[in-house]
Amino acid sequence: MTEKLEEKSWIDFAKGDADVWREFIDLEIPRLYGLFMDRWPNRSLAEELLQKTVFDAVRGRSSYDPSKGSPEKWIHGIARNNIRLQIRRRASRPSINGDISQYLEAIDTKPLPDEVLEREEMTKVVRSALSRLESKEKAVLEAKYIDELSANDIARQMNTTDKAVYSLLYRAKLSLRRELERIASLSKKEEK
Amino acid sequence: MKRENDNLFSDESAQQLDKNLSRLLKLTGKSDKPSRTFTKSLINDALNELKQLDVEKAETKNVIILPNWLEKAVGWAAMVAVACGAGFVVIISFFLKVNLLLEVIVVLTIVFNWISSLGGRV
Repeated sequence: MTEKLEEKSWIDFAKGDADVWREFIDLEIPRLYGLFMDRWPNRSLAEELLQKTVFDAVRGRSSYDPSKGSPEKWIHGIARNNIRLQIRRRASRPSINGDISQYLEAIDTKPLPDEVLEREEMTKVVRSALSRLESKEKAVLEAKYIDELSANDIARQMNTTDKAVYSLLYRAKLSLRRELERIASLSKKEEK
Repeated sequence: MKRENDNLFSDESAQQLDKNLSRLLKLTGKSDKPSRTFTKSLINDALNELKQLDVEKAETKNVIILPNWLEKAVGWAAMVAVACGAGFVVIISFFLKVNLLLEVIVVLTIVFNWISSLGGRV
């Protein structure tokens, strides 16, 4: 059975009771995240939309009416509205060209478009680039960007100092950029 | 595109690279649920925002804002009071036979005080 906020808490939710909101957000985060990931398999975008939805709900708290239904139904309405906005935003953007190499070459000058990130081949390219890094470099990148650990936590995990983690992270980023560019140029050559 | 050296040229490019790598690396992680760090920070930020909104609401309640019509009525009442005061001074000075210059100075003083007390609104 899916967990839901009890009906007796709906009024406290409308009043902005912090404990009820904490429980509610904690329950809703995985569901909303799943909803966004089903639409676009892009973790960064799902997190961005999730954040926007939660903040829209907090700021628009006064628009929730317990007599009209559950808070879950209400926040899912906000989420669907954010999906519609995202679809409209994407439709207004120029379409993405076939080749992903040009985007990887400009990785430190332009933001990567979501449409490029969502391509299946992109995950393969990143995995392949990661596999060519030294094990320490790969580990520090995964800890920082996938597990989202702080430098201090990484240092404790790796049994080293914060300074050493920053330095390793810097080197690892450069190595990954180099590998991504190498793969990009290879795919360009193959196309020719 | 070959680079001259292998450093990050500026803060801006370092930041851009950081953002893009973060988004790319997330593609390779587990995607069934968001990370614990993200969840924790989102809950805390949302609750802080909720608290902040409550504080702002309470502050707005404590501020007394005079309605527009009341402000206008007070302005007109002040103008009538000044006119009556000036008239009163003219009449009294006429009966007490004070000279004209003194009479004008008294009236002007009242009018200027009134204007400055209204903060130049009139």
